[in-house]
Amino acid sequence: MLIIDRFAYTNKYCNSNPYIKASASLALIILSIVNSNIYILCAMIAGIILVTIFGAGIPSKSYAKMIAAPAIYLLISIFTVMFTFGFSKTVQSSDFIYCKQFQFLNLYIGLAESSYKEGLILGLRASSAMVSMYFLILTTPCSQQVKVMKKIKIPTIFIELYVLTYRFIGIFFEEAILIYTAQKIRFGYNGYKNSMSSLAILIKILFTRIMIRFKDMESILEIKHFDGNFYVD
Amino acid sequence: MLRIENVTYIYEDKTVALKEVNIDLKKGRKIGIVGSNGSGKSTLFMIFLGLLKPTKGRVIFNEKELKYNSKTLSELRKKAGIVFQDPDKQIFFSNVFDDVAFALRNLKIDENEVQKRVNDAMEKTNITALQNKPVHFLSYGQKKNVSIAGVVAMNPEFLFFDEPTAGLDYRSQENVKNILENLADKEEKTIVVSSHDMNFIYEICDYIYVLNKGHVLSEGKKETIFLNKEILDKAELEEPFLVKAYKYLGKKLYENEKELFKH
Repeated sequence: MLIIDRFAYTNKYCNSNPYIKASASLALIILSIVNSNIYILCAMIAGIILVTIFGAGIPSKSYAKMIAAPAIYLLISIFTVMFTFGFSKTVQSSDFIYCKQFQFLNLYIGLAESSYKEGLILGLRASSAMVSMYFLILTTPCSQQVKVMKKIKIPTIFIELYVLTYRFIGIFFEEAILIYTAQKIRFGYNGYKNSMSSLAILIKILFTRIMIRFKDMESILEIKHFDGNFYVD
Repeated sequence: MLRIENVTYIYEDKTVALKEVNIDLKKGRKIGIVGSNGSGKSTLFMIFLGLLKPTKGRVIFNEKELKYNSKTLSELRKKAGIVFQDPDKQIFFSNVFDDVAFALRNLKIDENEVQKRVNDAMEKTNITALQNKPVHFLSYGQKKNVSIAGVVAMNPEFLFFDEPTAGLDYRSQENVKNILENLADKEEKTIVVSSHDMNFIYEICDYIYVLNKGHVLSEGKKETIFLNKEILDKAELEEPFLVKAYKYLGKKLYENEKELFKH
């Protein structure tokens, strides 16, 4: 099972009203998108992180790891927004003035005030939406999420896809970890060459195993009279 | 009411899994399907549940040949349920209660009735205390009980158990045994158990089919089958402990271990 799933069931807000959790997270996400005040965004991020760690009781170490994955993508994108690259010292447009400029070979790297501000707000906005989303998925188990989605009349086809994808990500990781361990205990990851060939085999086997698991899951769903709808009370 | 006639099943890679198999579930209340690994037990169960369509032969359900359309199959699966060997594959939701209720809710049964039947099923399988736990914190034996509860909640007439005791510790095995016995004796369900644990089958079942390499080697009341060493040898199966005690130690042929030690 996914670690996120495990936290969703063990956190202190697990049994709280799912509608409140979902609407709070949604409101926070909308607020992050609408708002462009740096201080408010910072306060929101800090607040949500504190609530997630101390309120819901998610271990800070695991939380940091989970945040790190999307944060890397975010940093790369923000970097490209903030810095401008060019071959000439000045920029044509008059309102676009470099406040700082570095020369690298024959390339000029500029940091304009407007883009620097824009990047900062964008980064904070994305981070704040991200921690809000994490708050939702870490405190609300899948069945509660389905309940909320049904309440707000999200199409059944979407809910079906959502739950099956969710379940399948779990299966995917389970199988990958099993194969990885089996390889590792037999020295499959000793050295670069071994690692590369083991990884290739892992990917290949993963596909076949996933297909087998898919067929198993199909049988189970069929036996349990699944009709494309998830009925949760 | 449920039987298969002359069923042959050949997989895509030309492996013959079943050959001209005839099995009638009317012959006993507790039917044992025994055979070594790879003798076709699991394939047989998939055929009974309509998950696989026989290459040749037919499945007779309600005195009619089974049609593979969703309506008939749905009818069949209300009457017949299966507990697979690996509970992890069978459990779909991460919450025990929701998982046991899954099939019932799919049939759009009234929620009050669902609550009642799920609670009832959880009581029968001794998992009431676990109902709000996430599945990944349960032990293998507990997961097994959850997967059994999911089938019991449907209240089918026929329950198929594929290797119900494989990988379980002693206590969990005894627990599964009790659940099966209650289902068959108190609730008058027909249970079909596949296993290569001969002691378990000997204590639980009354009618036995011996499968070997995809065909039925022999069938009959359990005493006749288990006292015939020739058949067991041919099927590569062990004699049950109680039969050994009877044959080689000169004890009476007891029904279960407790009785043996009482005397």
